[in-house]
Amino acid sequence: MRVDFKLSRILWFVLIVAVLIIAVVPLIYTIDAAFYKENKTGLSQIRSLVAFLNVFTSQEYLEFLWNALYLASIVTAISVTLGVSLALILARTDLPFRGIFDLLVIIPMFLSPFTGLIAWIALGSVKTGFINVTLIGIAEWLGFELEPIVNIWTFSGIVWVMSLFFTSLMYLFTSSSLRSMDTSLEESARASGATPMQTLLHITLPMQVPSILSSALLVFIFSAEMYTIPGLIGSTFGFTTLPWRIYQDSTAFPVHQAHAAAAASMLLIIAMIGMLLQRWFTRLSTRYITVSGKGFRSNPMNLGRWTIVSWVLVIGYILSAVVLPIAGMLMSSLMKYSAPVINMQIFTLTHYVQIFTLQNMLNALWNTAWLAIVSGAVCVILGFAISYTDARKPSKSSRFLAFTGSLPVAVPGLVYGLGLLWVYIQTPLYGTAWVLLLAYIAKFLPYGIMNSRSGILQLHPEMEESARMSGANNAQVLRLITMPLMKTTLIAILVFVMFQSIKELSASVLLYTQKSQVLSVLTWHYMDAGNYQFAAAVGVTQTVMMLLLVVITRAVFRVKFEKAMGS
Amino acid sequence: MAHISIKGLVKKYDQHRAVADVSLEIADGEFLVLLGPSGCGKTSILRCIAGLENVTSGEISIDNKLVSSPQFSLPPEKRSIGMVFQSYALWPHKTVEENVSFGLELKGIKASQIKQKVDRALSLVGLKEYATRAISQLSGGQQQRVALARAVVLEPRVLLFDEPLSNLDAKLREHMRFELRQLQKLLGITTVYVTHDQQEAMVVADRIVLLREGLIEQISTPVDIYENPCSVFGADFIGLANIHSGQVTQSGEITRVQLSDQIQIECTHGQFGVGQSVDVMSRPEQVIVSTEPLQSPNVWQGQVSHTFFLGSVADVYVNIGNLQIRSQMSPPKHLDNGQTVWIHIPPQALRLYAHQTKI
Repeated sequence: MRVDFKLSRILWFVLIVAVLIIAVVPLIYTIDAAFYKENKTGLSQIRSLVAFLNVFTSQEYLEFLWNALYLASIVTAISVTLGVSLALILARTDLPFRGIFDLLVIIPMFLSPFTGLIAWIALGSVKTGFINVTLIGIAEWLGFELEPIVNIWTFSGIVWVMSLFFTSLMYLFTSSSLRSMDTSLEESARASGATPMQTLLHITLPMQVPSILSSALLVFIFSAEMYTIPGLIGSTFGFTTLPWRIYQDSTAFPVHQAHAAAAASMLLIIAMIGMLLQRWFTRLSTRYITVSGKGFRSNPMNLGRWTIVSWVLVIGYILSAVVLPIAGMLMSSLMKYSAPVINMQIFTLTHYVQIFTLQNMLNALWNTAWLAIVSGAVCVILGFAISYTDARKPSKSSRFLAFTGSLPVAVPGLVYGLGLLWVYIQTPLYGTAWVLLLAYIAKFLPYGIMNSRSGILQLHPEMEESARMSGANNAQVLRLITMPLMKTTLIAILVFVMFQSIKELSASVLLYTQKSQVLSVLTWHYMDAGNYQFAAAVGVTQTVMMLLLVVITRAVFRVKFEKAMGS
Repeated sequence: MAHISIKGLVKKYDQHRAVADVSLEIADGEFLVLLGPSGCGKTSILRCIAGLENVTSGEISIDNKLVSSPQFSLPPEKRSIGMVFQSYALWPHKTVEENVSFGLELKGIKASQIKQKVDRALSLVGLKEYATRAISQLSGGQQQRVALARAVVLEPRVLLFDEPLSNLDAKLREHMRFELRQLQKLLGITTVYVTHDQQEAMVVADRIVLLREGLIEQISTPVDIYENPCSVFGADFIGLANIHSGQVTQSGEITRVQLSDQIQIECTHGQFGVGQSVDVMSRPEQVIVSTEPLQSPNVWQGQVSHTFFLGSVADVYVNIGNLQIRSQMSPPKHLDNGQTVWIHIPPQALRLYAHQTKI
């Protein structure tokens, strides 16, 4: 009994130290690095304010910041409009085939935004994009000339690819919040004489405002901190956002490490403010959820003459975000090179053969797989342990741990990548996949903590107390009652973190070496080098991995992942 | 079977004192009810007995063996206590049978014996045919019974109930009270039962402990606690009560109290000096309403203010000057609003309390 107690004390202490090292130290290091004088390979020993002042006051960097915020605002506006409209149409109207559409609309969540970019470069490039090629081909056949219509290598192209991805996120959040809304509120509006349209405009939508705002902020932060898509496209016409500049400052020779650190701190501040606001809106929105899970659905709204508009919107989105990208990426992955004319000679299976034969490809495949599994398992176990302790036996240390462990949710992957890179570059860990693992755990532990927390809170403590009264000790309660009851939540967290790990790019790009390749970095690598077909093949492999994960989760655990993720 | 002894129990949550200072002796086989409004500390006491909460100060012993003190707490699973929770707390991932057998399996009892004991417990609550059902397939009342079977199957020394009937509908609740009482007498297990429903308490209890803000207000049998509440709070909480305040004008064998200009009331209970402020309590069913004048002490003429027909009784509110008195007539008689009536309260039916300014 006594030994047990001491052991758990020690474990707890180790956990606190580990979370501090993983989650907090890289951040402190990043902020600290902003205040040194730079030399060509990194930092000198001399303290300096030059970089800090340069980043926070110079026209140049403020413009990069403005570019990032401007891009994020447009992406957010489009994603919110599209996502909310889709959610309302599919959750509240009588549009036929709603059930299938509901599944299709969230598929982009299972793709990485970067694979979306690969696909859209294949589809929307000026000379070789499948869309232009097809349209011009049709036009020629009809006997007239046509200029290329679509061009993905523009600012609108960046906005387009990012919006397509984030719309699906907006949809997921809004539709789950719509589903948890007490329908009697809408019914009482109808009873007070409101038409379905008036009910929608005056009751349903206003009640969703806090929840929409909170998810919109999330989209805003995610798109403001993204450097991959804006960087890859934007660099071709001189459009630079702050995150992209951070990436360049820290990777391109000569390195501007202090500048990168200062700019990263700037990004961190913005992300933190955004997350605080987001928390506030979330709290507002939970206040609006009156009754949930009654399972009683009132009659869906009759679309009438809006049916066609709705069809266009839903099908248009599914085409652009799901069908075309997947088809385009598949096709591109089977081609030898980009070509304005497509004939049979151009198709090949070489890329796939290489993926499964080349040693560094196999390494990347293996690394991606084990990193996903281990980071998923660690985040579930730590997240559950921290939340469980904090919910059932709250103390100062448990609150501290839950707080610091959740902190990284507001930290851009880029900033984490930099911090970890600088902390571990001197150690033997650098150059191994273990650094990536640390980055993934730091980045995704918050999901483990927060999601298991909401799962535990749904579990009545009397369930556990009654087991104590039946003669079970603490460990038996946990093993025989709590864990089995939380099975769905825990599996959902596991799969979610595995997903995120497979997709993770922004920190991985900074931390990988030849020995520690992962699939997402490979796609980045080949995109950067202009080998779009190989990147597409890797992208397809990565996507298949994630789809397999969804199918396995469903078949083995009978957990509908997309449902568990929305809550 | 066990005897429970609670001495000077205090339970604090942060700065809030849920249980202020409670001492109690619960006899072997007794059915004791902890009764009081929400926040009176009744559930905290129960959870301390169960071992689910640590005590801030004081001691709890079962059969003269210390189980709870500030320095020591026997874990709940080692106390041999069965408990029925307000939410039933049945485990949805287990069947009825598995819910009941859980504790037996932990004890490592032989499978054949487990089967026998589970069967017996389920028969006791009339759910033998439901053994293989999932919990979600049961009604609220049936879930309640499973929770009960689970609590008794380990043959505990003590049974604890935390508002077990509050989630049931009125009809079922009335039926279950009676059943719980019978079962407890059959098994003879010492039982502590928490409720805020005074009628429920009256039906099941051998003794009722009335609690108020973490302190014991009164301990007595149901009949006594109803007939002789020791305070205005008790009178008001258990049953219905007319409470009026006034000044004592005569003391001795008969105490007279001036309630208003028109009303002077005679009581045979209570010793108070002339000039003291007192509260006079009467039960509405003791207040007699007559359409004819009556000749006796404590008779006043008044007007019917309003009446409610409740089926077996009628609630009649009569205004006498600026005082209003409530009467319950059974069998109910029809009275018109504004009708002149005479009301009479027998002097021995009145109770007097020293007047306390409302907190």
